[in-house]
Amino acid sequence: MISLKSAIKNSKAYLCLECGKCTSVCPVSKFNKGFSPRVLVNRTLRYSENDILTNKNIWACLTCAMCDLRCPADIAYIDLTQATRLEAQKLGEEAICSHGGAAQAMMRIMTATNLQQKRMDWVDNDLKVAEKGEVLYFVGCLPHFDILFSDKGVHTIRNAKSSVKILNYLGITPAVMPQERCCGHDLLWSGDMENFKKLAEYNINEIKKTGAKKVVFSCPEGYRTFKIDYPKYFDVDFEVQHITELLRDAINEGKLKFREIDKVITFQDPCRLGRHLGIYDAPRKVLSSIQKLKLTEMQRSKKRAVCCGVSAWMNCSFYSKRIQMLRLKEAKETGAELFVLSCPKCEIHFNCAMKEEEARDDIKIPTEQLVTFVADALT
Amino acid sequence: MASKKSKSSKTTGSDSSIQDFLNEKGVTIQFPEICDSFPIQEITMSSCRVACPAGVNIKAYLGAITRGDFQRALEIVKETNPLPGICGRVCTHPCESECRRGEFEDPLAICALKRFIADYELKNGSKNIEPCKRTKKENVAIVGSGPAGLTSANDLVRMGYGVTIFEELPVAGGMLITGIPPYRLPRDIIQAEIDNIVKLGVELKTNTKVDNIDDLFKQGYKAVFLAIGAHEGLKLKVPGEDEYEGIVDCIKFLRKVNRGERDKPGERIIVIGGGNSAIDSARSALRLGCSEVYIVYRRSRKEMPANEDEIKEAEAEGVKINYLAAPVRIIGKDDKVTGMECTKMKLGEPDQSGRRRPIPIPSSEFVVEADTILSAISQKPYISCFKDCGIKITKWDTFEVNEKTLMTSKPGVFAGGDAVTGPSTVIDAIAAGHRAAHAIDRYICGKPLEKEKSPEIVQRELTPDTFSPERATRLKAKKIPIEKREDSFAEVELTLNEDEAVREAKRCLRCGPCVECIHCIKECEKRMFGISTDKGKELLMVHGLPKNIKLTEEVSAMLNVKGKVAAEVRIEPIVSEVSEEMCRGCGQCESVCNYSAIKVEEKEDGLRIAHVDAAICKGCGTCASVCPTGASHLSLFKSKDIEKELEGFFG
Amino acid sequence: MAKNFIPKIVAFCCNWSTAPVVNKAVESDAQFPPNIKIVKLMCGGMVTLAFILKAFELGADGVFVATCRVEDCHYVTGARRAVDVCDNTKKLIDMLGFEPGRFKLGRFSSLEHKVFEKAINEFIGVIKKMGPSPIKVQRRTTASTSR
Repeated sequence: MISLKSAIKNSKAYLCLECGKCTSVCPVSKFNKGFSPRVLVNRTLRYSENDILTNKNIWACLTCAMCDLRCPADIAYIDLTQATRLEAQKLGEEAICSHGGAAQAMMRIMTATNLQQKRMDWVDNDLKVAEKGEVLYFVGCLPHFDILFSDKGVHTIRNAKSSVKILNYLGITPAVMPQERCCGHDLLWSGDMENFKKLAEYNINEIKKTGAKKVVFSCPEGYRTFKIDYPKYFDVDFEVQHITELLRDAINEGKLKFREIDKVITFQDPCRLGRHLGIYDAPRKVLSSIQKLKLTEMQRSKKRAVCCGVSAWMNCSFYSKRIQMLRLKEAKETGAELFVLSCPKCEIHFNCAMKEEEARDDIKIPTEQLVTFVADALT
Repeated sequence: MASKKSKSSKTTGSDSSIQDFLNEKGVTIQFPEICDSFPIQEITMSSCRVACPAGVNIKAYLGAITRGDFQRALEIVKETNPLPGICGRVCTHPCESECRRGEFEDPLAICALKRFIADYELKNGSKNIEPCKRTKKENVAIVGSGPAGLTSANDLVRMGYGVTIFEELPVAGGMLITGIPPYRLPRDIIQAEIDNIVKLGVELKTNTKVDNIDDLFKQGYKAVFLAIGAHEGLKLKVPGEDEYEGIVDCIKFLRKVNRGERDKPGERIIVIGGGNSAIDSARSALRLGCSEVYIVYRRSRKEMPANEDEIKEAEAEGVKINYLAAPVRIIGKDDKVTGMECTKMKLGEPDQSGRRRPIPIPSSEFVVEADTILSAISQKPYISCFKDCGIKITKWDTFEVNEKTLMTSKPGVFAGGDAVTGPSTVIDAIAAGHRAAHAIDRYICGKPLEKEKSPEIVQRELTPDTFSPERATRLKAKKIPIEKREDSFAEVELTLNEDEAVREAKRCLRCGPCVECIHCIKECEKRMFGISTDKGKELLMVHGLPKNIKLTEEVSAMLNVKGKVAAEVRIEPIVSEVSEEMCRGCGQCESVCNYSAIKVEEKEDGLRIAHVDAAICKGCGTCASVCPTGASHLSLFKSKDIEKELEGFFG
Repeated sequence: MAKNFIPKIVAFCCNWSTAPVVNKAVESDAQFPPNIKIVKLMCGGMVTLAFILKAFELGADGVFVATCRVEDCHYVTGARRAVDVCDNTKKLIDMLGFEPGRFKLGRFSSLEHKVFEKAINEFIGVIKKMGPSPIKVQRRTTASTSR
């Protein structure tokens, strides 16, 4: 495993200039004055390992990578955070999990290889899926979140349905694995390396069995995990692609036809897709190819997009709500009628914030996922 | 053990006790619903603290040591004792005699632990000491720089007065430096602790003899504290005492030795007396190369006032002690002493001091040969120069003072320490210094000198039958071997190391419900309380209280400020996390639980922790309301606890 | 499946009607098998998906939730909430791929200790037939378990 020292080396944390730009852009620090990435880096470098590993603030980071982008010394702060959390977990430190740790418990349960999951109920009759195939659609936790967060009025399973609909439209019958497991993203970021590896290994083996050459994701977190984290620990011999990239390619080839939609929308860049992987243009290209649709950008968009306030089901707090309300306000201020998102978690978090008691009308805006929006616009 | 009688005239030294503070403000706190939910109303003391003349908060600093927080431990000691390094070496530690653990086995090595934390500071460099802020224009003169003078100087300068110490000798320290030999109390320790006090802003004038107190008042001092000690040896009052050469007063002898003179007084030495200065003289004489040293003491070893350890060490080093023997006359030849005739004694009825009175046995005389006799029977102050100043003097040539206020018959002149009591201990002198400082403060401010009666200290009964702790052996401080002690005045006893100190401090049983460490208020942000006056603006701050008090949530509590009921008081309800670190094992929760769900259990490491039986607990919250440290709260029915239960079940 | 399999059961019990039931059942010498952990809650509404999943994650072979009857809830809405939570839980358990029968919601009034005893024993019988839980999650770290 990576020790803290090598993590400092790899993330180049030793280059820290203590300029404090990370803290100045950090959405958590904006509201939680006790949290500062600069101080955390400083403590990592100057104090004993124990000091940083037992610091509760390492769990409060959203890993939204805003600081990474802003850092003049190019320190990979989120990599450092990931490593620190893994080390802290070894010491017995634990993340403060939201929803009572239900999500994490569910993911750990999934590590049992002998479970016969029934996760294919969502596949309607008009959707074509296969057991094997060149292209695989990775569903992720969408069916589970659909149950967990039905009370928030968010139906994440629609993402899966729409994604398959889009793939079918393009003439692809995607393989979908009935025994697929969670990608492990949340376990990895909450410091549980062992169970993350188990899930990763299981998924890679299952994908091999389907013979897929390309795996398509609708969830940015799964995409990031497969693209960046899996290859760190395992051999990955298939291509991964986010559905917006696939859509963009299809549009360039002229394969997609949309009906006109007379609407003003705004788009949220999820941090995993945006700052982590640098995909800003593909979703915008897709949206702009729908006629009459007007995309207005928020005050802060693309690289500067504000995170949805919670990551990896950890540390949902008063501060998260403040961040979400700030972002919703920005979305509302654009005058858009619809807030288009491309991460299921963003949708859950923003809808949760809108259900808060103190939420006023100036932050209430209907949300929709990019895939469902696009799938509905297909002619 | 029967419950002790309260000692109501005790000084607690500084103003750190909240009870004192509240009393002074005329404040009583009452809760309309649950009368006993406010812990600070009933502060009871542990027996060691009751025993300590200076009222050092022993349990609190031992607690700090167990946590490894040595700096905090030192802070606690210094609240009541500005000379921890000195006391840690030479204190007669009455606290250890009262230690509850002493009823089962050896008491705690409290003295050695105090020394440890003082040495820890020296070793690791003391914090920079800032001079105290001068808030009062009055000046106070202190005559004498012994422990009483230093302590009162320390207290007064912290109160904001200008303080000048006058010392006749070229070095400060009084009997500490002239009477106690360096193998017991190294000079650098004394110097360091005096420096610490001087750094606070005390002016120290050495080589300055004070003859006339009125001159001091003329110079502008508003009050004078006479802490001149007792440096004049008493006469033996036996025939031949003034005829021969070779009879030396032990104080003079020790003063010479401690100044650095290393001439040996003779070959065969007799030391008369059984106090610490007798033992000091005897051991010093051995170190100077005297071949034989006898101590002649008229009572038995049991009655000997010197520290037990000192006697043992002296015997180990080769001092011979003749118990139950008293001098009859001095024998000499050619103006030189050749020996002393003694008579054997037996013990009769106890006298005023509680010790059995020695009675001579007729015709039991015997002669001890010697060329030098050191008289160490007792001392009195050099008081002659103060006789004309209008101060009443007792028949024992000490100052006559009001016992409680330490004021002499002359207004504005206070006296304390050995100068009042006759030769006594360092810790008694420190206690006198505190009392004098408080009295001087009240005198200058024009308040009545006598404080109102402080609340009675109730002690809980604790008998070996009802409570028997796990045994743990007392740690003995290491000493340098006897062979190395000849000719050397190097310190004999060595300091404990950190592990030893923590281990020893953990033996503390933490008697009494509250350690009065004020940590609950200092550290715990949730449990703050403050008092505001009826105007609702001015906020009275309890010592060490955080400033953002007004932001705390309020809970219904009625507070009487000088008879008026103030509704502005906000006291945070007890909502602290359950924490083993916070639980002091006081057992209050155990006594109030209606369902017998709480038991105080002793853990492996000797700590007493309350344990709630979740199966019986009804979650009524009474325990949380009485918990003085806020460790107990409604622990059941919280997500965290449910998770813990599950984890416990599956192991 | 081994015949001497003793299932590990976690029972979440509401403090108002079912905890007394448990007490009475114990007092009246009810025959409870050894490996049953009763977790007392202030209200059945306190049961969350997280607790139930956590119990399964930690190795429970079955989880039983005992609440008041919906109309008897001391906190008015708690028991109804418990029903909602339990519905969701059943769906999720089904999706995760282990037998929904490993989880059961029972509703009792404070006098029905015989009913409770019977229900629990029946539940244990069902679990015994199913055999041990398929879930074997490696505890996260050695450090956290030894703490």
